Amino acid sequence: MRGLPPGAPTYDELARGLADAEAALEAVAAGAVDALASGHGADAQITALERADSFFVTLVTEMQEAAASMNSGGTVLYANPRFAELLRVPMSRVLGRTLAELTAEAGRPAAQRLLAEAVRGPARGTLELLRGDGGLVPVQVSAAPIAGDQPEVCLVAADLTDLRQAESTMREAEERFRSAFDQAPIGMALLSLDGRFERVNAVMAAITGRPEAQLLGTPLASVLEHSHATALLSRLAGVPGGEQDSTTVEVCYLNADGRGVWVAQSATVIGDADGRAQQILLQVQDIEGQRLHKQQLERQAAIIAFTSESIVSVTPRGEIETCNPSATRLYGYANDELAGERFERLTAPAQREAVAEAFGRAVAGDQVGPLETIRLRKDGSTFDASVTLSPIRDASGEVVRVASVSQDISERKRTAAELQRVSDELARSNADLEQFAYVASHDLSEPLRTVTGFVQLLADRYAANLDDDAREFVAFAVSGTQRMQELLDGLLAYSRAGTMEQRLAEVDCGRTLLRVLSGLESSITDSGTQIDIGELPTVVADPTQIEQLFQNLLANAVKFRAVDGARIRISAEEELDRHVVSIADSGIGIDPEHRERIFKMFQQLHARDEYAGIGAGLAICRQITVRHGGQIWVEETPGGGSTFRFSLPKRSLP
Amino acid sequence: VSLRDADPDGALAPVLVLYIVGGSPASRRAVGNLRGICDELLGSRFTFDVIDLREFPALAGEHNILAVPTLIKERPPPGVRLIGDLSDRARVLHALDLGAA
Repeated sequence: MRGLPPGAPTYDELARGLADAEAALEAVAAGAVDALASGHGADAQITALERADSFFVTLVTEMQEAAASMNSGGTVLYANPRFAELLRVPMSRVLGRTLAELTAEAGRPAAQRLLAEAVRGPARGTLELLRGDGGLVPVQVSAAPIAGDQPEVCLVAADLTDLRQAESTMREAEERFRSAFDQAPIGMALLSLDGRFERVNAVMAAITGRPEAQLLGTPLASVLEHSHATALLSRLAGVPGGEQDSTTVEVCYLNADGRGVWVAQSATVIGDADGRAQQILLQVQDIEGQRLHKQQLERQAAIIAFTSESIVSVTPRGEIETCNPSATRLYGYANDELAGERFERLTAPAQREAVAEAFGRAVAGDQVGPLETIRLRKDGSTFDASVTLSPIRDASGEVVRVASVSQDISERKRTAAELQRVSDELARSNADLEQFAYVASHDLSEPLRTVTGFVQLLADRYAANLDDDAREFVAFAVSGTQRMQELLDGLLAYSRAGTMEQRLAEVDCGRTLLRVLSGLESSITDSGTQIDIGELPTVVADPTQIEQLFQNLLANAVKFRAVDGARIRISAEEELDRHVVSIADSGIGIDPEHRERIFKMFQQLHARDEYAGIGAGLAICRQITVRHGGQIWVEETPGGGSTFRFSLPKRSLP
Repeated sequence: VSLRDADPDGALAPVLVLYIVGGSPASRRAVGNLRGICDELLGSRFTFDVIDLREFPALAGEHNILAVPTLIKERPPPGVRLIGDLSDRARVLHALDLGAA
């Protein structure tokens, strides 16, 4: 056997090529071949035998939907490129596979049913195809039988992924809306366009005071004040869907028990895709609390605006935030001029350190003051002020502001100084007067004694030489000098009661009274006066003066008895901070109009020939009680007579 | 190693490739017939690839393909090629060395 030239096919190759060609011819003759291939490598050409078929092949290849044909067993005999793309696999992995293999396991029975149906006639359905990457593709499938000796089914699949996504997005949106609706902290309701409740949330039910079930289907006007309901519905009529009714209005809902609940309400018309109004969404916020709070704030603001106290609100860093009109007036600034200024500006330079220290304590949480300080006006003038610094805390307890409340006290201070001056002057002039009274009574006594002595001598020794008229005149002169002596003695006693140094000691009033009574014994016995003595306290006082006090009051009581056999009762009551001693007589009594006058010096109610005396006794009594820090007054004794009472403060020895 | 005994996942996994022109009648028949034979005789453990020569025309030259459809059994040896729509079942079984069921 001759060898073949190099590069030529081997014998085996030639033999195989011949066999192939023979098989090909045979197959072509049997109609089992579609196309012939010619050429080598990249130059190979495929020549289809049935030209007419290529038109449909091109159509199917280029169409946008995924298309495939399969036999009655579901084996894919042909698929267009879009089909392979849909499954994200190369075409070689589609052809020859069955529909069941290309379908998600759960969907296989449905795929089989669809196929069986499509063999008999056109069928539609949805399937989930299995992608090469393991994902699923939802598809809408149309399938129909293709007539032929071997039954085939042609199937077109439309990708539903986008649609499904849109559906699930919508479902999610709706779910979100529902949850937002149900969970909203404000009242929400969906109304039909004619104003009936179609859906309400819990807060809405609470605001109307009715359970949800009761609200559904009822008109808005049954829970909202009628005019408000009609106003809302007429305003929304004709508003296209999706437009917010921009105004939030305050309306009043009527609770089931008839109580009104004020709310802030806004409404939105909900429309369909074409903008046609479908429903009304109401959003309702209970503002009952806010209204109360607002009213309270307004009242407080009014108080702050109109109070005469100057109020300045200061940040913890010392900047003035706001102040009320009184403050701008007081410090001489224009309305908003103070805002942002340093707080120190309101204080006189000399006082700034002290005020800064007080301010620091207020920031630390203490209420400081009132402290007296000197404030500075805008024009540089100063005034005395009383300032209180109070910390203002927020909800967490932190000090966020300091309120400075000040009052101009320069007027008060001037008045106090003036009062002090007048009172000092008065005290001085009183002292002068008392000194004068003492000196006068003391110094006048001397010459008076001389006059008295000589007039007395005249009466004693020369009475025989005088005629009746002269004797009478001398008698008048004697009586006059005696009277004058008594007046001077009284004046002296009075001025002594006011000026003598007090020697304080514990004084047993009971014993003092007994001593006084023994001195008065004869006149008491003579007049048959009955004396009752209650329990009397021990007081800290000047013993001599207390004795004189009892002496004068008891002498008066005996003297001004109405008839013989009168009663005098001495008693005492202990009060919280003082003892009150009462001397009640059943005597002639005192007209109410004279009850003040009797305590003045030389004031007498009665003619001298009726009751002796010079009108000094009660004035001295008052002088004594006042010097002891007490009081003396007179009341009517029940059943007639006068009751003198004096009080002495409780005190201990120094 | 016969095709029937080949391990579809093993190192010498069988390679069975059907070359077609997509959509043409004989090609469609060939796909259906091959699948039917495989299912019946080899069970679901076995797959083949279908290559559309309209998509990859160069493969026709590379594999010395004269007419479409052509089925080539590359592994296990011996290599076998069958031209036509594989409707002659007995011949296909014989060529693939599968014997009658």
